[in-house]
Order: sequence, then structure tokens, then C-alpha cells
Amino acid sequence: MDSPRTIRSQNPLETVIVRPPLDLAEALKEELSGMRNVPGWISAAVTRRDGLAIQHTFGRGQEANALCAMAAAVVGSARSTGEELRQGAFNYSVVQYRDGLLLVMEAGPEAILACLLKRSANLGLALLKVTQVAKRIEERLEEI
Amino acid sequence: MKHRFTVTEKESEAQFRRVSQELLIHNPHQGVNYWGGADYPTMLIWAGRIYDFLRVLEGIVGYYPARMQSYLVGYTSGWNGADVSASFPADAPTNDGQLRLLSAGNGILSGAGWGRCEIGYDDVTGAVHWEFPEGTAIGLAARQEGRRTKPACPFVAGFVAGWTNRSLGTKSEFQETECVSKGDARCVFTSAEFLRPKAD
Repeated sequence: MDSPRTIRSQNPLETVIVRPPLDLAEALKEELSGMRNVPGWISAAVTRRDGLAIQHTFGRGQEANALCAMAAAVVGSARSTGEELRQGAFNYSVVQYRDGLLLVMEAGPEAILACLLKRSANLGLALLKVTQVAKRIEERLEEI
Repeated sequence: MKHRFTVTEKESEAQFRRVSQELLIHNPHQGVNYWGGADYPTMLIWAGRIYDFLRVLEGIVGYYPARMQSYLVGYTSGWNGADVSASFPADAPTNDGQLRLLSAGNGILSGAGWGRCEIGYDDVTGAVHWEFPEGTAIGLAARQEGRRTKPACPFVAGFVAGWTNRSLGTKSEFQETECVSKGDARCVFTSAEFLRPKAD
């Protein structure tokens, strides 16, 4: 083959982004950052139901994107399972790993809140806080 | 100013010859095709199998995550397609390439058998739509398997988004506003500034 003439551009997936209004972005950031005082808290993200990140506290966007895509898949498969088994609506999901906990909860009908915690975190306290934050995020999103 | 780029049936025939013959190079040693001088292997695939990708995935994780994954694959494909097309000598230099590159998209798509379409672009509002009056190949394949309640072509939505954004330097998102698999007469993809997908 001859040498390709392909023009190398920026990573196309970096241009697939959600752009919330500035005030909403700041409000969501504030809500997520408010969870820092939960012992064992690592990071959190708000995502659309399809897994596209709306706001997060990760240092690197790639990490947030991965978590958001996974969180949407967790909710989607949990909902499908619930429907299949006739167990009603999805509330939240807790996944326990050797080194950490993943807590995923719907923040209203159109968004998901995902929270990564240390394995040693107090799950009850974290659930309480995440439930409160998810409710506030739902209200924020309803405003737009 | 509003721009409208169409492909007539005659032009679609010509694009088919250009895309599938002039721009396609066969490597007989590998038995693999290469398109437009790009280093990505290219192959023919049944449109219904692209639909299967969505169908299987949505059966596992639900429509919205499945849609986004399909959209992202299409997006990269559209972006790469525009990227390669930007290097074609005839297409690249004029008017900094943007509008010309956008307008080349529907010729490539119809020539490649994805469906004949029209592109509309309003350079004041930035709104873009891609309209397939007879449906996309994937939409037509999905329709053969029964009517859907949700669009069947997030892959194409992603493709036109990737092509549009690579061409115009935008970060627009596209929605499938009409889809033949839902019973609509045509498939339409419209740029949208939306924050979230609508709830069921």
C-alpha cells in the first residue's frame, strides 16, 4: 500500500461532550464536591442515562467517562433484570469490589449519580448522603 | 445563509462508482480493501448486522446506553471518513475545507450504500440536518424485522455527527427525529443542543 494520506486530528471522542449551562455545571460540581465529607469517598459523577458524563470530580475526564458509561450500563441492565423478574422499578445498586465500592443511583428519570468509595467506607452513611444528593440533582435538572 | 446539499439519483450512481471503485483499493495479498488512501481496512457488511449490534446491546443494558455506544462507534467512523476525505485534493483547499467537506458527506454515504440523503446547514443558527427521503440502509433493514418504538439508527446519527463536527469544527450532537423503522416515511437526523436524553 502507498503511505496513507490520512490527516491526523484530535481524538474524535473528545468532541462528544455534554455542555450544561454554566450555572448548572457549577451547581452540580458543588453537589458532588459536597460528598467529600463522606468518609471513604473517592469521586463521583453525574451522567445522562445513556452514559455521557454531565459533571464529575475526577482529575481526568477519561476516568469519568469510563465510570459514566459503566454506571449507565449497570442501571440499564438492572432495570432490564427488574422488569424481567417483575420486581418493579430500580432504586440503587451497590457493587462491592476487593478494593472499593461503587454506588449507582438514579437522579430522577433522566440522570444517574455514580459514586466511588473506599472498601472501608460506611455504606449506610454513604447511601444516605448519595440519596440526598441524587434528589437535589434531580431538582436541579428539572429546572432546565 | 442556508445551504442545501443534495444527491440526485444520477449523482448517486456516479458516487457509487467513485466510492466503490475509484476510491477503493484491493490488497490481494491480504484480501482486504482500503478506502481513500486510509490505513483502515474496509469491508462490505450487511446493514442488518449493524442493527443487530444495537438490538443485542439494548436487550442487555437497555436502549439509552446501547444507543450511546452505537452512536460513538458511528461517530468515530464519520469523523474518520471526513478526515480521510479532507485529504482528497479536489475536496480540501477551497473555503478552508469546511463547507465543502460537509457537502461531500452525502455523496460518500449514498455511494457507499448507506442511503441517499440531503444535508441542510444554516450557518447563522448552526443547525444541521441530514435527511434520507427513502430511509437509511440500517433503518430499512430494521424495518424488515418489525416496527420499533425507538429509532434504529444511532450508528448513523453518530456518523453524521462525526462527519459534521469534523467538517465544521463543531461539537454538535444529533438526534434521530424520524426513522423508517418506527413507521416514518424517511429518516432524519437533526443537530441538537440537548443535555440529556428524554425519559421513557
